[in-house]
This record gives sequence, C-alpha cells and structure tokens, in this order.
Amino acid sequence: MVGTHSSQHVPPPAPAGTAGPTVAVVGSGPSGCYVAQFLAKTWPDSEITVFESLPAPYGLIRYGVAADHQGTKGVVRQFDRLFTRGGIRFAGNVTVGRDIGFARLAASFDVVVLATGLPGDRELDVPRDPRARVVGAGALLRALNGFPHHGLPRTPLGSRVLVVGIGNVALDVLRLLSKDSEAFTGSDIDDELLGQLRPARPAVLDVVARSDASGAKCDAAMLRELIALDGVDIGAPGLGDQDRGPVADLLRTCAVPAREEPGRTRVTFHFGLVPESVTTRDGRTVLTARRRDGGEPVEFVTDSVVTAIGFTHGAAQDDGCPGPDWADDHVYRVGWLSRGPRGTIAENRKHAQRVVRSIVDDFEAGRITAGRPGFAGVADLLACRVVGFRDWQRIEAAEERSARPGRCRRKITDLDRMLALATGAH
Amino acid sequence: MNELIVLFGTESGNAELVADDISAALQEKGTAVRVADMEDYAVDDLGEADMVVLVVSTYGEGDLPDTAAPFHDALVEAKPDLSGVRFAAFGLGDSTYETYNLGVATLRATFTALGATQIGETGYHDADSGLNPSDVAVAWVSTVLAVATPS
Ligand SMILES: Cc1cc2nc3c(=O)[nH]c(=O)nc-3n(C[C@H](O)[C@H](O)[C@H](O)COP(=O)(O)OP(=O)(O)OC[C@H]3O[C@@H](n4cnc5c(N)ncnc54)[C@H](O)[C@@H]3O)c2cc1C
Ligand SMILES: Cc1cc2nc3c(=O)[nH]c(=O)nc-3n(C[C@H](O)[C@H](O)[C@H](O)COP(=O)(O)O)c2cc1C
Repeated sequence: MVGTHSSQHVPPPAPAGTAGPTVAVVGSGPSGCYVAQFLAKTWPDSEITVFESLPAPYGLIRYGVAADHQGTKGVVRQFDRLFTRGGIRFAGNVTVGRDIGFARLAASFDVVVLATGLPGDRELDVPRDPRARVVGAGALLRALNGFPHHGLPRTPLGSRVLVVGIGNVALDVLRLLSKDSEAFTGSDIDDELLGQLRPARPAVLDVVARSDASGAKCDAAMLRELIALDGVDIGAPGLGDQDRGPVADLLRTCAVPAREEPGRTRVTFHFGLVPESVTTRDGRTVLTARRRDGGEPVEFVTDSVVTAIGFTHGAAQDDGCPGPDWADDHVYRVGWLSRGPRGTIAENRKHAQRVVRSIVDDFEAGRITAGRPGFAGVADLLACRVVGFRDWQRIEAAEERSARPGRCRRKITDLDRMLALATGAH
Repeated sequence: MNELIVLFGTESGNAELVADDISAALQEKGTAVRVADMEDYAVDDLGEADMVVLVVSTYGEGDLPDTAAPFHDALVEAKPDLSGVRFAAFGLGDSTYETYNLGVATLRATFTALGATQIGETGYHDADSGLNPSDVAVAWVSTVLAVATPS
C-alpha cells in the first residue's frame, strides 16, 4: 500500500529476483508528477521516465495557476526534488503520439501512465458570429502565464469584458484583469502580454452565470481576494434573500450601487442567466442571455467575451491527444484526463495515490509483469530531442536571471529560444 | 532522547516534504527519527514516542487538510491521555487567507487539551512569502530542539 510505507519510511523491497518495473508517465502536470513520486517511494528500484511535450515541466501548475498565486506554484519544489535527487528521468520536448508512437511506448515500458490533462477550452454551445471576440479562459491564462505558443490571444480585450462562468478559473480571470500592474509584485506574469491584452484595466466586467449564487462553484476565499482589490466595485443585482451560502453572503455585504468612476473597475455578477447567442453589432460583441426562469432576453454589449466554463480534449486530429486506442492492461490514466476538468492540484495527489495503489496491486497479483527495457527501448528515437531536467534548469536559470524588477521570473515564450538555452547553444 | 516522530498532515504534499527534511536534518545530528503520515497513524500509539513533531497545513476556511482531519477526529473521539507526550508544532499556510495557519492551531489546542506539553514556539511557513518551507522548518526545528534537549 502506498500510504503505510511512508509511516515506516522504509519502502517495501522490490519483489525478489527482479529489478523494479520500468515506468513511463506521459505528462508532467501535477497528476503525472504525483504518480511518479508515489511510485518511486513504493518501488525505489523501478526506472521511471516522465515524458513531457514542452521543454518545461509541470503542466498547469506552470501555465494555468495564476501568476500572482506563487504560493500555490510552490508545490513544484517537491517535483524538482524528484528529478534532481529522486532518480526520475525528465524527458521534455517529447510528445507521445507525435515524436514517439503510443504503441512503441507501450511496447517499451512495463507500466504506462497517461497524465496528459485536458488542454482545450470548452466552448460556449450557442450560435456564434465568427466575427465576435470570444476568448477561452484557459488560452487567456496561458497567455498571461508566458505559454510558448503563437496562437494565443494578444490584442486588447477592451474596456467592457464579459466573463461566462463563475468557477475559480473565472475568478482568476476577473482578478488578473482588474488588478493594477503594480499589484503583481513577486509574480511571474507575462508583462508584455498583460500590456497588450489589457493596456488599461477594464471599466466594466460583467459575470454571467447559469447557476444562482447558492450554486456558484468558486471558493469564497477567491471571491474575497477579488473584492479586496483596490479600485474594484462589486455589484450583484438580483441577488435574492433566498440565496444562501458563502458567495451570496459575501456579495450581499460588499455590493455597492452603480457609479462610473474613471480608473475603477466595476465587476457585476449576474446569476441565473443562460447564454443564447453571441452576435456582433457595430464591431462590438453582443452576448444575449435569458433568465433561467423565463422572461425577456438580456443583452450585453461588450468588447470581448471570455468563456470560463470548463476544459476538454484537444482537437480530434491532434496526434498528441490520447485516443481510445491508447489502452492496454498495463496502461493507466490519471488526473484531468481521467476524471474530467474538475479538481485542484491536491485532488490529483489523492487520485495519483489511488492509481499507484492499483498499479502496485496489479503487479503483485501478476496482472502486469516486469521485463520491458524502459527508456533504453526508445532512446534511439529521441536522443537528439530530449530536454532533460538539467537542460530545463538552464532555461529556468535564464528566466530567473532576466526577471524584471518586482517579478520572480520572466518566462521565455519562444520555443526555439527555450531549446537553444536547453542545449547550451544560446 | 529515544525516538522522535514527525507526523505530517498534507493535501498537496508540501508538509510531507517538510517532514522529510526535518527528519533528515535531525538524523544528521544523530537523533533517531521516524516520519509518518497522520492518515496512517493510530492515535493510541502517540504515547510511545518521546517527542512528536507535528507538521500540518491549512485548507478550506481554516480547516485541517484531508489527511489530518481523521487523525484529529480520532483524538477528539478517543481522548487519549497525552500527559506524557512532548510535542512541537509547525504549520504551513498562506497569509492571503484570513484563516492563516488555523490548522496547526487547532491541532496544537487539541494536543494541549489532552495534556501534552508543547516544546518551543509554534513554527510557521507562509506560502505567500516565497520562502522555501523546508528552510524555514529546519531552522525552526533546531531552535525547538535546543529547548527540548538542553545540554
Ligand atoms: C486556468 C487554471 C487555473 C488553475 N488554478 C488552480 C489553482 O490555483 N489551484 C489548484 O489547486 N488547481 C488549479 N487548477 C487546476 C489544476 O491545474 C489541475 O487540477 C491540474 O493541473 C490537472 O493536472 P493534470 O496533471 O491532470 O494535467 P495538466 O496540468 O494539464 O498536465 C498535463 C501535462 O501533459 C502534457 N502533455 C499533454 N499531452 C502530451 C503528450 N502527448 N506527450 C507528452 N506530454 C503531454 C502537457 O504539456 C502538460 O504538461 C487550475 C486550472 C486551470 C485550467
Ligand atoms: C483551497 C485552498 C485553501 C487554503 N486555505 C488556507 C487557509 O484557510 N489558511 C491558510 O493559512 N492557508 C490556506 N491554504 C494554503 C495552504 O495551507 C498552503 O498552500 C500549504 O503550503 C499547503 O501545504 P500542503 O501541500 O502540505 O497541503 C489553502 C490552500 C488551498 C489550495
């Protein structure tokens, strides 16, 4: 069992006469790294490789968790330890499905754990004018988090922005858009993108949520953080006495009457509204919604709409996206890929613990066996492209060296430059 | 001192790393140390250790992390006599929350109410500080142990 060995602090020995199994973990987000961590503790003799598409590790901890929440990003210290002292191999810049076929991987490792997450923004399922400005929250947060991809939003969102959804990701969007640049001290926000996307704080941020305030999915602490920002005024029209729960209580106490004041951001929460269409008028984006309980449609004329309504798989034609055929007796799934786009970093730890327990059970019961070569079985394919952990640390050192004043690092957003730094050829 | 036990309660693993590093630092000084997850630890065994170091984070609205809550519930339920137990306490939290480090405060209060004696000051790590929790904890534990084992 995974849990008890740590209380002895002496992991159980690998089965007599065998070296530990060889393990491939695909994806270095929290779920993949926790799996590697628990497996390494249970099977100190196993050879574990974590494959990652990017030259940089840690998935959404690096590119999702908001740049101004460095405390949360601190969990990567555990994982750094795995790769620097724990004997686990980081194979960055390798996309399984593209750089190495799934079948080849599965043939080379005794255990394969898929931890590739859910990279796409779920789209608003309503008729939509293609000229409308609609941006996914995941793409927006990746942009502000220095994600190395050219296809991310870069042009100003405008002074009236509408956010669909009221989960923690929606709250991240609201906070990041309404925070003064100076308030990002200590963060690793991408200042260039912040300046391009948001040359000035929006005057109006409308939040449209299907649920009522009692059903809001965000944590009260997240809402409190937004409310406490300088220059932010909160409105919550239609909040009823029947609305219960911490979100409703908070909004009731902090809502103020509408007033237009230059330089301030007015955040208005609209509950019980179901989006019906996104159209355009005079070059602006118009979201039409209807009250859940009927009545006239409500129109919001905005500069852009940000959807924060969940995450999905990447495009169907994306070879790096696990399909149904990425399966076998010795192949496991963990994290968002397996559970759907819900749950915090900590929930991935619990899930990883369960998955590792079933891997170990399967091995002890003989349902999976050791004997495949592991990394040696794929090394020839990948030799010239793998970014190892030391290589990544060169990139990281460069990011820390080039941090602007008041920032903890300046992420490198150009893949070629990352690779040049990784190989020491900069 | 015979054996010292470092008990951790965690949700995202930071407290486990801290517990491991406290243990390593103490072992270097020749102290026998065992690290255990509160999740797997029976409260009846608490009397066996000469000294317990509690390392725990805070979640939700000032709650104990998932792995520590059952341990705490068991203490409250079974009310073991801890009058022979000496303990030190280290909390991991984030000062952007109003309920900063309440988790360790809860656990400390329960230990004390059951008769245990706290050694030294409670240590704290603030995730918002940017400091490495292990550095803070290892520095803290050496001052606590100076109190525990006056030479
Ligand atoms: C915007 C946003 C903010 C969030 N903020 C918080 C927060 O503050 N606190 C919190 O606890 N949780 C937060 N979460 C939730 C948290 O990020 C997730 O629970 C967690 O990251 C899911 O982990 P994962 O390992 O399953 O997936 P991911 O983190 O997405 O990791 C998947 C990894 O797999 C890699 N990959 C994908 N395909 C391949 C392939 N074919 N080959 C190799 N590698 C591949 C990807 O590059 C990526 O690195 C946030 C989520 C989002 C979207
Ligand atoms: C959802 C959530 C809620 C939290 N609530 C609190 C809190 O109420 N008080 C506090 O001091 N810290 C709080 N924290 C911060 C954690 O205690 C801190 O990140 C700690 O380092 C986590 O340690 P762990 O990995 O051992 O669980 C919270 C963190 C999260 C993600």
